[in-house]
Amino acid sequence: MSTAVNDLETVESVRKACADFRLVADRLRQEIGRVLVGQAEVVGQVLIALFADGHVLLEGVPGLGKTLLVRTLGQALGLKFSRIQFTPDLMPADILGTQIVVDDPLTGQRDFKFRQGPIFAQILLADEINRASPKSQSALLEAMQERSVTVGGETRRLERPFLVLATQNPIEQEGTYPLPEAQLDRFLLKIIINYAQRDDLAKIIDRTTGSIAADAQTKAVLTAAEIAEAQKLVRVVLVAPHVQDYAVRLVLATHPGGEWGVPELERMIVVGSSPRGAQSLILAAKVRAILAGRCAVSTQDIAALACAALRHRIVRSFEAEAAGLTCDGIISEIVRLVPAEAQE
Amino acid sequence: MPNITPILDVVARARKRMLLGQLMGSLGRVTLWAGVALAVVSVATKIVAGWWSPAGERGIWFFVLVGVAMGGIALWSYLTRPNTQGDVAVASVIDVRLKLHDRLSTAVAVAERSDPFARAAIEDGLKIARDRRIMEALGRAIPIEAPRNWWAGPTLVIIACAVWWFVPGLSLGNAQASAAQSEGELQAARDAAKIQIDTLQAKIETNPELSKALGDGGDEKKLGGDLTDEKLQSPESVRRETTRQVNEVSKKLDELLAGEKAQQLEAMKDALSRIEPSKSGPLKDLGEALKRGDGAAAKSALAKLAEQVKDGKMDEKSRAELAKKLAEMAAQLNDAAKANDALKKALENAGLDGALAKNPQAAKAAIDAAKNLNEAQKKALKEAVQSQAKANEKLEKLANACESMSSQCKSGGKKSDNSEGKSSKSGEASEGSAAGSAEGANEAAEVLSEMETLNELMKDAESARSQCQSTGADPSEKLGSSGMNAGRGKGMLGERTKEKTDTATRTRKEKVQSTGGDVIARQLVEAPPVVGESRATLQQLSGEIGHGYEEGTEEDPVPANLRELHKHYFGDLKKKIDAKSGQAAPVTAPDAAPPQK
Repeated sequence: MSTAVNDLETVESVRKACADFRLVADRLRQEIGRVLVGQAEVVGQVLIALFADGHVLLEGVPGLGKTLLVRTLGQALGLKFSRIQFTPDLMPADILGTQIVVDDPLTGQRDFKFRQGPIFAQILLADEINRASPKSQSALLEAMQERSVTVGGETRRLERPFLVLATQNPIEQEGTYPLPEAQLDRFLLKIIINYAQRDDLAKIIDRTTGSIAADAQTKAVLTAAEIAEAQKLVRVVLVAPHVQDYAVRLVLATHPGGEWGVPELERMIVVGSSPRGAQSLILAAKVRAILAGRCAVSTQDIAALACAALRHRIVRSFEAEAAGLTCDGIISEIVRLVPAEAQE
Repeated sequence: MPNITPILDVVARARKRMLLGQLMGSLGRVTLWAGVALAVVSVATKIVAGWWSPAGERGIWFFVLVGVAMGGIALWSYLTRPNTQGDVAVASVIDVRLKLHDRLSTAVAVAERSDPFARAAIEDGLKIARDRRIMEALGRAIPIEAPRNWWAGPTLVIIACAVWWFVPGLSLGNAQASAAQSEGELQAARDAAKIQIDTLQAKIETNPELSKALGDGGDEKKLGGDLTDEKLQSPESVRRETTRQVNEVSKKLDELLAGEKAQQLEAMKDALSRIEPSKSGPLKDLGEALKRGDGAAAKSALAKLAEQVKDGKMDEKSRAELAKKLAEMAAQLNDAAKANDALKKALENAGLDGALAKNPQAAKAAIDAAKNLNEAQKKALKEAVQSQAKANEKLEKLANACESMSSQCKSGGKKSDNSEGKSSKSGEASEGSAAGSAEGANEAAEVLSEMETLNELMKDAESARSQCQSTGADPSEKLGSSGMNAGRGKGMLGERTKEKTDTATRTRKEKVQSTGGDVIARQLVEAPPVVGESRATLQQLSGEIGHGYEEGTEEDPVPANLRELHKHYFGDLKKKIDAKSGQAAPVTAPDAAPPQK
């Protein structure tokens, strides 16, 4: 990113900054693509979350490359990467770090010294996050929202950028602890990873079962400063009032019994999206707009990201579950029913 | 502030298209609701009679007014619509329909901002607005077309109109309103009937003789009188009563036109038509008028002639000539009186001797004695004989008058020349001749007056009958009741009585005792068919058949190729009849051969 956000004074500079942004994203995408086969949409959404400075919850059955994606991303970004394998006996101190007694050989005195946990990284892979107890899961709350960790009464700032990429398995429910709504709400996007397509699967087999296994080394193609600059650019992307209103109407439509609620879906939703949902929508849409070569967000950007940004923020009713209606189904219906045209 | 006019132009054009589309949609909705409303009103009007009934022309105007009102409402709502479609909203519609990623709407929305992102967005919008393809795409994205179900409204309107005009009312409920409507219709029917009756009455009253002739039974006094009867409480009953009364009059007119007076006039005209008028001279006018059957002209010509004869101003030669002509005319009139051609033919048709026409008494006796005639036929024949006799009497009177005038001409005319020294005997004779001539002339004038009166009567009766027919009299009522054939085909059994129906007075056949025999013959008649059993014996029938066969073969010989078939048919028939009656055949077909099997 050669153009600083503070220097954006002309249309040309804006266009150049946006073009640079796209170049960076393309570079990153290509680097990830060297390791990860397929899953272009997932990669795209992860990049959106990265540039929007938001956390990602990846959900998918085992073996679809969730961990590989996050690891590769960490390598490609050249950021400090750490991984936490969540287990039922994982303690918060195992995540955050702990105070330990250290002997000073010079003075012979003992003192408490904070030993950082794996959370003190820039890219954090929270693998199988739903296997840990709520107590351990909640250790991430402050870090995700405030980008800081408080241990022993002392608050420590986390290095920016800070990105949590959590994974969870949707089928193994025994011995798991579903994430509480407060924790879910802190994820910018919840990305569903689907099975690989035929061609992608063939490539995966070629790369992993051949006599000479491909051992692609991922290079760091982006610095923390560049990422931070890109995240700043995202913040200044234009959102017209009527486009923002569309995002607001979408979020309000998830509120059961609300003024803007969709009557057909009122009984299907128990809890609607929080304001973070609207924030996530707008931020993610901004990134999507730049990646699409535009310097203003459109309602189509918002509609395209509605599922990823809202699916983990609404709670279905028993009626919806009985009817086999998923969160994605509810959101798609809301997108269909809420008019994209400006409402005056 | 950047100039976004191209974007606003696109927006303005799109707005016009949207408004036109909305107007068409409004029209469609208004038409649909109008159709629903009209259909409901139409059905309600049919179900509840009298609830509301702008019939006829008023109905058309009602629908026109409803249409104009609906159009007015649609136009008014279009013209006074709230302008809710701002530029951003319209631009947003364009963006969504053309998938422009909100470029136009964002440009319009941030038009007043000056930050670089806003300016970039405006430039993006302008770039699209300046693209010529945008206008073409706009036509496809915002089409001006009729609503999808535009046909529903007009269809409902048509159905409502059809129900209104073609579906009869059910008259359910709302009896009071129904009664009010019925009262109006009843009054309208009474008014129409009164107009018909009054027109007919006026036509009849133009001729006092006709009025008198129709008033024999006193029924004409009731003409139109019963229409206000309390029993006539429906338009249909009023119409029926009107038709019945007109039929009554029509029937009487038929009887008059086929009655004795008509036959008498007809006989006189027939006889007078034989006269050969002189082609010149004083008798030319009289002869021609008589030949035409013009009583008024003949009377005038006769009066003029009598005046000439009475004046005595003609010279001797002219008088002699006139006397000769008068004598010839008298002879012609006498001959005409004796001809009786029509009566002779009627008698012969009835199987009687035509010579009986010369002797009315003998003819009547023969008619009474005839076994092959029924009572009605006998009556008709007797009337014909009577009419002919009266006509002959009048013709003779005319002939006598001519003879008297001829004699007066021969005797020298007026007795005003006594002073010239002629003998008193001669003067008396002349005076007697003049008196006889004057009396004859008076009688002739009376005859001609009667003839003229009858002429007028028949003419007016014919006119009145035409009026009746145009008023709605049943033409079938006239069948078999006119002319010399009156009464034919009415059967031989039972007296016919008159039966009053809703619309007419019909002739009904009385029930008679049946002998239980087979129906052996039916005859086509010029009247409503009457089917009954005959009491004629088989023997009588076989005789008639045989007689008919003889006559047939004599008058119209059977072709050679059919002769054998003819014989066998009648032979077989005869044998079967004889076998049925159990008697030997008293009458046999002369040429009948035994049937060949």
